[in-house]
Amino acid sequence: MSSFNTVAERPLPFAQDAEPGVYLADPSRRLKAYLLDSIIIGIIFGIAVVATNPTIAAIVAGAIWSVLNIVLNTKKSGISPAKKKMNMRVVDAKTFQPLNLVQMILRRGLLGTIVGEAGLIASVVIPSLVLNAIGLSNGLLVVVATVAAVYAYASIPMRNSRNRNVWDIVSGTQVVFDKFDTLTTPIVETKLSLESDLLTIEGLNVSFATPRGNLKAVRDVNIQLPKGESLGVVGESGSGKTVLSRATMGLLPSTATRTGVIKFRGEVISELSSVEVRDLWGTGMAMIFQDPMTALNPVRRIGDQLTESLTERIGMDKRAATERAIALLKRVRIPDPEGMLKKFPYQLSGGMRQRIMIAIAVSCNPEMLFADEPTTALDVTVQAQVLELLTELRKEFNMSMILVTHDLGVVAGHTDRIAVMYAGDMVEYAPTRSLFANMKMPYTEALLKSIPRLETPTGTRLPVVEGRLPDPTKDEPGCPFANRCDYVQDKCRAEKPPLKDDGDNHFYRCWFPLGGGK
Amino acid sequence: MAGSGKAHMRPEGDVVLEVNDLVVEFKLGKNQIVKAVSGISFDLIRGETLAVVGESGCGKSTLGKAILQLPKPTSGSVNFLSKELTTMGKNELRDMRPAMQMIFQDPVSSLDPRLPVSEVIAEPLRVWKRGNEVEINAKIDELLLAANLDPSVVRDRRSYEFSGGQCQRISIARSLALDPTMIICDEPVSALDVSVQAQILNLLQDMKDRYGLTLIFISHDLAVVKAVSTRVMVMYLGKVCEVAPPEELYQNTKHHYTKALVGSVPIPDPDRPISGNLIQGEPPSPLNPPSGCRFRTRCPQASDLCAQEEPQLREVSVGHFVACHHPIGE
Repeated sequence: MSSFNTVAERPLPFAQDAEPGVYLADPSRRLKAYLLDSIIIGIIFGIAVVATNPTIAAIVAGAIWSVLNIVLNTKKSGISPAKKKMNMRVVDAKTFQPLNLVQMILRRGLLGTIVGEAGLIASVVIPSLVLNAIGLSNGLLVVVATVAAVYAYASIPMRNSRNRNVWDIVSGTQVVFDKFDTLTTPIVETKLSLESDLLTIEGLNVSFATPRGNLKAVRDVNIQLPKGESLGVVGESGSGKTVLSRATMGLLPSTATRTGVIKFRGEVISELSSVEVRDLWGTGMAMIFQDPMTALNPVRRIGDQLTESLTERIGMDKRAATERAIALLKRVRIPDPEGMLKKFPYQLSGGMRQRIMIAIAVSCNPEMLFADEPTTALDVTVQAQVLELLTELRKEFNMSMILVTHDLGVVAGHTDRIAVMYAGDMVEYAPTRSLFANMKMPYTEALLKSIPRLETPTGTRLPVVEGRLPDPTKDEPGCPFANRCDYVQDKCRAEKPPLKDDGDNHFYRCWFPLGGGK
Repeated sequence: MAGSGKAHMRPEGDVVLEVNDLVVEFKLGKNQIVKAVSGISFDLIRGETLAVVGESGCGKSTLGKAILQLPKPTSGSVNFLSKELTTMGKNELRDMRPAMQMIFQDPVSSLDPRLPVSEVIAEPLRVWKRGNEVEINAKIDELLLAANLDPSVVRDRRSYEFSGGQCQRISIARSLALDPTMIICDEPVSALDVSVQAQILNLLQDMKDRYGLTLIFISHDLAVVKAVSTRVMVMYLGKVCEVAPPEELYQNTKHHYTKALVGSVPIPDPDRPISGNLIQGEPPSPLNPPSGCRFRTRCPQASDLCAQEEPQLREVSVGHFVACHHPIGE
């Protein structure tokens, strides 16, 4: 149960007033949960008071309530359905370790109960006595209302002390909420799996049913992406790079068939239904689309589009979500964020819209970000700014990222690893430095050479990769690049090369790699 | 930059196109005027490739269209083959059109999806009655072959059956059908993959040599421009920043805006990550451009002088002109 360390380590990008590294329950959301509790407690008291002597009833009912609350708090989040939905948990205020049953009774229970009971007795017994003394023995409604009010007051989380309320402060505990609340797996397992790879793709195949036959878009791709790392996926149009990222996120059209295993945080997500996968979007994995002009809804204001996932997915209330939206807009360097909330997408330039897309994608603090050609539609100067911003956010939020692009120049400075795709195959997969320093695939080399560079003298002919991708509906023998390759030999046309490892985590799919192979 | 001036105009040489003080403004509601191009002058010598470079919204595409009188510019003169285009009547202007052609950014949408490729290329020839059917057919085959397409395979297909690169080849073949003198290429490769981009750039270069073309090459990518141009004009918010031959421009950059553009080009080398800090934000609105130098709001070296006085183009070395009060290295 020591796994909450990871939660504490994760930065909290939105509650600016909180201490860094703490995941806090949203105060207004939490308040709603406690108000629900107040109603439940009010009903218990009401029944008790009608049945017997108010004083004894208050003490007995209070005790029952406390025991119930403590026991349930160690498992889930108390009685209230609102708290359950948020997956609120009580942890130690200093160490962020979850409390076990004994600690809960000793700290939340004894201390909290003493304070709580004192308040209850004061608020129930004294008014009852007063009411009795002045002859109004039927002051039931007044009593119930007072109890609820006092309980609610004590429960109000104070914004500037880590959103803690009276119970929390007295018992030295902290209520945190787990952002993966909608996942079906227990929290502890999820956290432990963070130690290994965040995303694992094993034997992924994607094909589309078309009138011309079965189009194989992705063939037997394997990827392991450790937490916080970024992977660049590079290739020409039609190489399967976009399909790869969409297949991982579960965004394929119904004509597609996907086989293979995709694991996210150690959990197999390729078996999940579309409804279950939806629970991962926003909080687990998020995507930035290529065209910021069409990815935003043209008839809704920026503010609405930005707060939508915050209210729907995390369950923030409108006010808190707006605050967070402003903080996010500031983070992606948008001037006048308050004014921006009121604008419509058509009022913004392409660069601004792409920043909004990025803000929406990171709003729920996902662990995995897919960026599908995020800068292709932008000017070079804005492209440089957006790439820089993505890299900063990735480090700050400790996200993993898959950056899909056709430009090797874009991935060179912003990724840890690169996968080169060709005709649905992953043809080279290596750490970025190793790929550029020790290129194995003739295709990668051809791709790199065809990029116009500032150093190229004017008027020189650019080396080109002649020819086109092979027909993806046909399964021809041999290496799919053979017809365009400068180094082609007979073996290449006869037999498709397997993915080989040169022993240094540098994989390539070629019979005759550049610089020899092992 | 962001200044005016004519220091870069060349009095000698076989001038194909001369543009003087070209202004293009669009009305936007009442009292609002988009100043897309604000007083640009340049000349184009036969056989030259002039690259026009700048961010989106700097007026480079508007400039290209204004030269073709699509629509007519607000003021200024456009002198093409010693004839003034801005004052020409409709019919006279139409007679000039075969000599000036355009290649558009999106190759797929600039071809009629209902016409087979042979018709796409034959249309201008028929409209201008260039030869009989046999001659037209021969011309189609010649152009398709020149564009590295196999006429027997592509003639009867339609544009949606082709990839972006092939469509751009067809567009180039079409633009050459009437033997033009000048072609304006508006971002011809920015919608294409890198590998295809190189093919199209090489093709343009071949066509230029083969047909003796003069090109205006509009692009936002300085690396692409470097490969094809003989002279580069950097634009910012409707004004000229810097004019120089490409080698000189990249090795001896004088304008702060050009420096930011050069620095933003992604380099495929993990040890040289591009920096997003060279220039911040986005260009101001052309509805209300800044006073003086238009680049001053984003310029690291901006001074009071820049706000008061608009810099004029001046020669800093042979053939290298800059419009800046505080050029780099001075």
